[in-house]
Parts: sequence; C-alpha cells; structure tokens
Amino acid sequence: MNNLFSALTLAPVLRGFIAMLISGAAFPLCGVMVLRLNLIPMRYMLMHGVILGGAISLALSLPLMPVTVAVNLILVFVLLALSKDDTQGFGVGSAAAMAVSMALASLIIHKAGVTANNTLNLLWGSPFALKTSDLMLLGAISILLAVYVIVNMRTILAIFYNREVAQSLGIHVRFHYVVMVILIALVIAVAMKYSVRF
Amino acid sequence: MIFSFSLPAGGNLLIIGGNGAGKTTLLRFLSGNLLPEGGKILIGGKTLNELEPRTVCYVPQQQDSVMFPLSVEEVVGLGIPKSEKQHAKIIAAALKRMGCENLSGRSFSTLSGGEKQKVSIARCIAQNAKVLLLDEPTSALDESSRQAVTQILKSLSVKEIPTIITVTHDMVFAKELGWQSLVIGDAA
Repeated sequence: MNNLFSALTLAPVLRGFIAMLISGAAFPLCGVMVLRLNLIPMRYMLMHGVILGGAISLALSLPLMPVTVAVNLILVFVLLALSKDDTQGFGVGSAAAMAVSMALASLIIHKAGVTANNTLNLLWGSPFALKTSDLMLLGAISILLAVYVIVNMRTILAIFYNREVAQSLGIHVRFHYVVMVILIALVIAVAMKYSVRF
Repeated sequence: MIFSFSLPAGGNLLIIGGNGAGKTTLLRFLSGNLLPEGGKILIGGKTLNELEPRTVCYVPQQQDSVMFPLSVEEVVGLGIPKSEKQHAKIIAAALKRMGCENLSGRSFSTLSGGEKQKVSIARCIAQNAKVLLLDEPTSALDESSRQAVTQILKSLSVKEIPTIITVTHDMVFAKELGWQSLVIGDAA
C-alpha cells in the first residue's frame, strides 16, 4: 500500500491514475450504448479508424489525438449519411469501413515509410505517458458523456427499451441516436490511447 | 400499397392478414415510425405531428432485451411526462388496473409473454393514450395467457382508452374479441 502511495507522488503515475478513475467511471456508459443500440460492429470499425488516424498522424507528423478523433467522426458521419436504416447497427457498412480504414492505414504506412510497430505503439499507449492536456481532454469528454446521460436519462431509457415505442412517445430518436454514436466515436478515440495497456 | 380506411371515435379495430401482408407496416405508419409517401393519417382530425405527444401508444411485438433490462415500474413510467408529480401513484394505479401489482419491482425481461402484454397496456393507460396500437399481442402466448389478454382488451372502457387497433393473424383471438375487422391480403 505504501508503495502505491509513493508511486502516486510521481506526476506521470498520478495522471495515469486519475485517467483510470475518470475513464473507469464514465466510459462504461458508452459500453451500455454500444450494446443496447447494437453497435458492436461499429465499435470495431472505430478501433480501426484509430489505427488509420495513428498512421496519418505519424506520416504527417501531426498530433495523434485530434487526428484520430477527426477520422472517427468522419467515419461515423459517412455511415450516418449513407445508411437509410440504422436499426441494425450499421453491420455491413461498419465492416466495409473497417476494411477501407485498414487498407488506407496499410497504404500510408507503406508509402510514408512509417513503421507499423510505431503506429500500434501509439495506439496501445500508456496512461503513464499522458500530458496534462490529454487529461483535460479525457475529463472534458467524460463530463460531456455523463451530463448527456444524466440530463436525458428517461429519454435514453425509452430508446433502449424500444426505439419504435420511443418514437411513438414523441422522442426524437434519430437525433439522440446520432448524439450517442458521436459520443461513442469520441470515447473510443481517446480510450484507445489512454486506457488499453497498463 | 395504397390504403384508405376510417374508424369512428371510440371504435376498435382488428387488422387481420397473413404473414407479410403489411399489417405491422400499417401499424408502424399509424404510430409515426414510418412516413407515408403520400396521403394523410388523421386521428381525431389531426395529423400525427399535430397530436399531443403520447396520444398514440404503440406496443410492438418485440420489447426490451435481456441486457440491462428495465424494471416493470420503469416501463410503465416511460410515457408519463417528466413534469408529472404523481408519477409513482399513476404507475401503481395503472398496474392495479391491469391486475399486476404483484409484478412491481420485477425486471420486465423476466416476465412471461402475457405479463409483458399486461404491463405494456398499463404503460398506455398511465400515459393516458387515446389510441392503443397492438402488434400481434397474442403471438407466442399460451392458451390461458391469450384468454387473459383478450379479457383485458374487452374490459378496457372507452374512458380508459377510446380506440384500440390490434394487428393479428390469430383468428381465434379475433373471433373472441369480435370487433370490426379490416382484412389485408389473404387472411386465410
């Protein structure tokens, strides 16, 4: 126990510990959304979107986090725009986007001479390598997620119960669906960097 | 599909037809889940967009899932406005009306098919719906549950829910209700 407390006096460890606490408290909310909205294929697509973001980031020497967030948001908006019926969780669209993301990432890695291992190292990043700005971004997304869920709890419950029932209750199901999908995209983009490997 | 029918206020209707005839599709139009390519759907002279929220209560075939299920009270309370202060009392009264006070505190997903139908109708009573739309309420129900659902629907007064529209391919259920029927496609 003493070792733990002494480790927490080190700034990187403390930042990692705080990141774990914040993400552990908030991110499971997105897990519930993924399961209840049948978005597991989309979750995998977003994880591959982060790989593409990592490759672009390394190839162009851009900061990782904004690029991965942007790539994931673009993927989500493309799927939303192309899908006529989103009740099945973009299964086929997600699979296609996942394959395209990996293909593009492979091309970029090959053409730009980026070491594939470096891309993956960026993705399976350590929470102990977090900067204060990273922690602030993590906190901001967590707060956004928690506030959205708390303010719209009854609406979300109705949508999770049955989308058609929610629609007949006058709830703007499509709007909330889009908001939840965007939140999932943001959370996966940051979680891949912060919370995967310890 | 081109469709036209009218129902007098306080009237109930059975929509009968075989699989794939378009019964559920019609119900989804009436509930606002699908938008017609042309024409109008009027309830009490108002389009669906002009109606007060929660006027129409839709009970689909598939409800809830095993993962993160809602409680019976949460399901019944879905249609009650957030501003309503008598929330718990309304839920209790609706459950009592359906004779399922004993289900309080249970998870919705653990209920039997017949119990789920009762709780769903309690939800519609709690939200003070004027039109109840039921999609195959007796599918996957055993004989006694089917009879219980039939009795509940027959016992609902015009004051509680003025209009009930039920989709079914269960001819025994349709005969027991004895309401006027609309046949789509080949009902045999």
